[in-house]
Amino acid sequence: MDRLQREISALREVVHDNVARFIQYEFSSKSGVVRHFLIEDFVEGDDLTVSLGKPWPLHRCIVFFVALADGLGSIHAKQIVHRDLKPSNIRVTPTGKPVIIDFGVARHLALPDITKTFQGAGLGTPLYFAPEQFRGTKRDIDLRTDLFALGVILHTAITGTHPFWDGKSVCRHDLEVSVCEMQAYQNSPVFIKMPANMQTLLNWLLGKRRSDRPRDCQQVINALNGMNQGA
Amino acid sequence: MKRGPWHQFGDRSQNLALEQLQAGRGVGVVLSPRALSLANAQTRSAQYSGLGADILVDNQFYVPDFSNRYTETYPTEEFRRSLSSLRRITPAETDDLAASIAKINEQVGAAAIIAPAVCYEAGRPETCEVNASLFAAARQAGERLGLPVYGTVILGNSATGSWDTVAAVLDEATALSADGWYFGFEFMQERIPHGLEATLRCCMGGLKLACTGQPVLHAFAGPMCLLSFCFGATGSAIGHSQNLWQFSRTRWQQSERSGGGGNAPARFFSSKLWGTIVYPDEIARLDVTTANLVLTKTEFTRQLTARPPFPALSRWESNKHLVAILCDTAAAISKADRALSACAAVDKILGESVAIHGRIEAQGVELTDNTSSYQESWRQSLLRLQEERRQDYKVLGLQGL
Repeated sequence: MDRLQREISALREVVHDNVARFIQYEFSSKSGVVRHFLIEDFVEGDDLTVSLGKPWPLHRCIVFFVALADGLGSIHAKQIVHRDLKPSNIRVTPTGKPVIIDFGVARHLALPDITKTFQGAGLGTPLYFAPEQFRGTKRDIDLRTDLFALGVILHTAITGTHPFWDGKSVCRHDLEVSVCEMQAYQNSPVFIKMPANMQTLLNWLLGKRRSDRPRDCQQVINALNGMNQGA
Repeated sequence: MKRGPWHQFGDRSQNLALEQLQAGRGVGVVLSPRALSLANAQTRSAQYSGLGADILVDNQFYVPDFSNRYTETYPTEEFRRSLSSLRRITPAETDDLAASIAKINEQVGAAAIIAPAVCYEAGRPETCEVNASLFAAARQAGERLGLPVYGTVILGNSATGSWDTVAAVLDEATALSADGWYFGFEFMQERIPHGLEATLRCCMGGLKLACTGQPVLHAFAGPMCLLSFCFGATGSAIGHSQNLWQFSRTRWQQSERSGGGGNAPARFFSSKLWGTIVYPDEIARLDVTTANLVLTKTEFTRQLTARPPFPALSRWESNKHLVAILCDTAAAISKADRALSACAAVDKILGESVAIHGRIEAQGVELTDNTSSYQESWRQSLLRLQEERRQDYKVLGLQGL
């Protein structure tokens, strides 16, 4: 419980415009089953899923993802990895601002993980899993795991398609192979036509190994801002 | 981290570093507790700083329980223990280690803290755990002194055998929140590595670290300083001693020999050959044009001639000459605006070297110690590096590197 309290304290310290404010933690214990409740501020708007499906203009992508990466960076600054970053966990306010929500499976990297999973690192939503969430162990999860998910979302926003999923297959194994071994998204006409720096950034974020990815959100922000200046 | 060549000398070479700095060569000095006492380190660092050099201390935990009369003068001595003992380091001991690291770095006026670390080994997750806890102590020391902290990534030869093992180690190492990297690569018992694949892996590893956007100091580079800036390093550490050319664990083995190569004739390092030639024995066998081409002089070797009479070349003059050439070349290459520009410049140097070696061979002269064995290999490594790690270079480009 002490470990959990420390994790909660770290979450409480995250104060950022693009991150839902953590309000309260409760737990209940009935018949030997302990349930934890994390209560976050309500964020008005829709989730990002509503806005995806058609390619976004480059400038919109840059502005939105700089803000999103900044919010994610504030979580990472507390050594917390979200582990379930996906469109339905990103609210878009009426003014278009992204807000990261739902820290249900987040964890503090400096503390032991208490989440129980049937498969090593595989907690979260497979469509946004990094390779290490499919095939690694909990030890392999770090801040760059979230950056892979950020890359998947960025790709979906700018191309209108998921980089590793055709929207039809329901086989987890197919998805795993695609995420862990394939880079077929690079052959899509939309990808080929996008600015070279955006291609580089997406390839960087979607690196199969953690060391192939940006080290932190600031590198992503710098890369996006660089494109903004060039646009 | 200052950009350019750094001095990295062992025992009895501290005057040499001073002399080079006085001549305007080098931007910093890496001190080693293995090579000089803390009191001497303080004296020397003041001299070096007075000449504008930055100071770093490499605590050298690579053979973690190594100890000698110099290391005993440092407060980190009690932490020179076996790997298994370092694994059991307690939070209170981490605080003590942090205090010791801070004390040393404060006393020498270090510009940043190099985190102590053991060599990373393949399939040994405990080396990553130990390095993470040693890094945490260094980070604590850095916060106390307000200094950046460099993560030490020395890849032991069990980890350097394939790119997969190197990459697996880098996945772990780059998870540390370091402000820079102190990078070394253990080759298989070669003074100047000539294996294309191993050289390529070394460069790929350095490039991967550079992609983090943090400065990389290529430690134990020696003549390999030619390649450092091609993989995006900010600094390259140079020394004359052959056991400082690449990281080697043999440095921590006690030797009965006095070292220095006995009575062997002095080697002359030629920037055109990017290698050594025995002076005057081999020079004398070359035609005069080639001999003059090969004799790239410095202030330490002005007296040497391509034709008799051949003034003597002492071992120390030869060493100073070598360091001067390495520093001058590294400094020139470090001015390249991008890593890819450095690659182009080095390709030219190595290409010329290969051509001159061909010319020497055509005259029936076979240089001793296979000194012509690595230039083409390095050149090919660089070409493959640019080809196979195109994405990494694009990532550097995104960061203006």
